[in-house]
Amino acid sequence: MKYEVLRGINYKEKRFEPGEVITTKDLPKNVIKSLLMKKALVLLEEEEDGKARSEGEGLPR
Amino acid sequence: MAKPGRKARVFLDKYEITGELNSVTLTMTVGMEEDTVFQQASSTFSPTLKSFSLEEAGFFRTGFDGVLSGYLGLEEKLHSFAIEGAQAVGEVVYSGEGPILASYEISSPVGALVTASISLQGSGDLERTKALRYSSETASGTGETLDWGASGTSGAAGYLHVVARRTDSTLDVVIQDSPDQTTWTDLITFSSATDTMAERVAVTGSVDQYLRAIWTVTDGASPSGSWKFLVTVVVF
Repeated sequence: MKYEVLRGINYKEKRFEPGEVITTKDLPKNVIKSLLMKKALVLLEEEEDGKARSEGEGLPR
Repeated sequence: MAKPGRKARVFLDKYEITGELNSVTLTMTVGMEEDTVFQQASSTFSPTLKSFSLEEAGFFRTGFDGVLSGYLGLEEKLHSFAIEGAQAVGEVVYSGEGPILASYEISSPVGALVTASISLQGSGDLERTKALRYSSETASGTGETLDWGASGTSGAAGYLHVVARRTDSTLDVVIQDSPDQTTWTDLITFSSATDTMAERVAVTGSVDQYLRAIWTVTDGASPSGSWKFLVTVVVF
């Protein structure tokens, strides 16, 4: 998932500036969750789950 | 334990006037209206509006005189009174955005030093802020953490007095908040300073329990001198 930084963030030694786009690799999930609640981050786009099914697989017959 | 008065510092807008003064009296009052009615045995009163005033006295100095004579009657001049000097994080600083310089008096008795005194009439709120940083800086840095004691839900306000400048340099000061002292978020961002200045910035919404100031010094080709500033904060 990608997020845009709305308010500057310092996490340990890292600094993220407003306008910067970050992903779940940049911050722990619980930190991202709390920053979303504080409106310091906004979700830009959901990531593909990478588990695209082959045609017809798992669908009811 | 009683506090020694000698540690006080006073800031008027973009000036620190500590070195001109030897006495400050801050008075906080609330208006009272009598609401006594028949059949009561004693008078009763109800509070109306709060206000504050400052009486400050010291010595006449030419530079000080130039500042004060120009400020007479003007509003929107930030004023901060750091009772203990604001050297430590968390020290109480009374700050107000709109005290009006209502009078300026110079006294020159023969055989004594020339003295000056001013009266400031509070206009708007006086805020009991806490010091985050008072220092001279030539490089970027991070201040110590202030534990406000609890998080807030109604916003916060920050005061910045930049009283000395570093030439060919820019100063950016931000107040950050954190719930855990690990993840810090910009809470209050002051305008970039290229010269001495003063500013109050207020924000709404929730505020975490821990606060700190960070400052960024961006130098040009030939900087000189130090930035000197006071940052304070109040959580509502």
